[in-house]
Amino acid sequence: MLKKKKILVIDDSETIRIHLGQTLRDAGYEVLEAADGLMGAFAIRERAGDISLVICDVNMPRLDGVEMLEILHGQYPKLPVLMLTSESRIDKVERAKRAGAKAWIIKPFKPELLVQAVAKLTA
Amino acid sequence: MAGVSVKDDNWTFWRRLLSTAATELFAHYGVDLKDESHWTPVLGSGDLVAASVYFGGDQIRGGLTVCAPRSLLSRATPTPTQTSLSDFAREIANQILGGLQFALNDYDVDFSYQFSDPKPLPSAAADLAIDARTLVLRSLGGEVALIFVVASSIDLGPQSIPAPPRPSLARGSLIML
Repeated sequence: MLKKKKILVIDDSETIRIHLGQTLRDAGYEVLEAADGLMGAFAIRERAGDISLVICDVNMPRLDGVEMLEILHGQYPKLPVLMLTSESRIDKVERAKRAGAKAWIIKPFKPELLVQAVAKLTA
Repeated sequence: MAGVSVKDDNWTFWRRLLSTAATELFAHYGVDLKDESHWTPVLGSGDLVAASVYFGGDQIRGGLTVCAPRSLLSRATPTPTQTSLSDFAREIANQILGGLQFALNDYDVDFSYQFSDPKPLPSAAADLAIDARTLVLRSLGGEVALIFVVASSIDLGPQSIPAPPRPSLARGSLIML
């Protein structure tokens, strides 16, 4: 049996985490969750070799998504990251790109668009 | 210290911006809202859910509270049986502010979201006087109240000229970086 790819979802909204979890499980992925950038950073450090993709919000308490990427990017340059956020400022997008983000989706998102982006990034 | 109040003309701008951002967002979640409001009344008593998000920047600071009947939010949430509706209401407030942030790019105005450990505001923004209004949007399933608290030195009235637009991203768009 083919092993399912694991995706780490980092978002402070439980609604978004569950919605993403349902969408991604329906599309055949295994989903891990973290509720902010700090917990996301710990999850990546513990399981980086096991994760195929990180989906990360930007505006979160304690540690935001871009700051988290800036801290971790040097250590895990091959781990693809998709930013999923209400944030639309180009300067934030460019900062995230420099920190290693590979894609950016503005909320609210259409599940099919997300699944399409995930398939591309985990191929 | 007396601060600067939001001008009357600016409330027209905020109302239009909030109405557009909220109706578009609720349409995405399957709720058809119509702006027939009264700009001030608050919702009557009932089984309501509310959540707030705060923001701040060089020229602006404030907060947005979304308040709506539980039944309406249950209909709109993508996860009807599994999460708290106050979490969904907070996410709605968050995404509406995302829409405001996107529109304010044209005025060269920027803000960041404030959490329980907010970053210190620039003193210019901290000295602005707060004002507050409530916008009520109606659907067949009930009303949604947007309670908007803002301190702003920006002139967004009909006579104001937007700053040159700078690039930003539209809702729902995907960018491969």
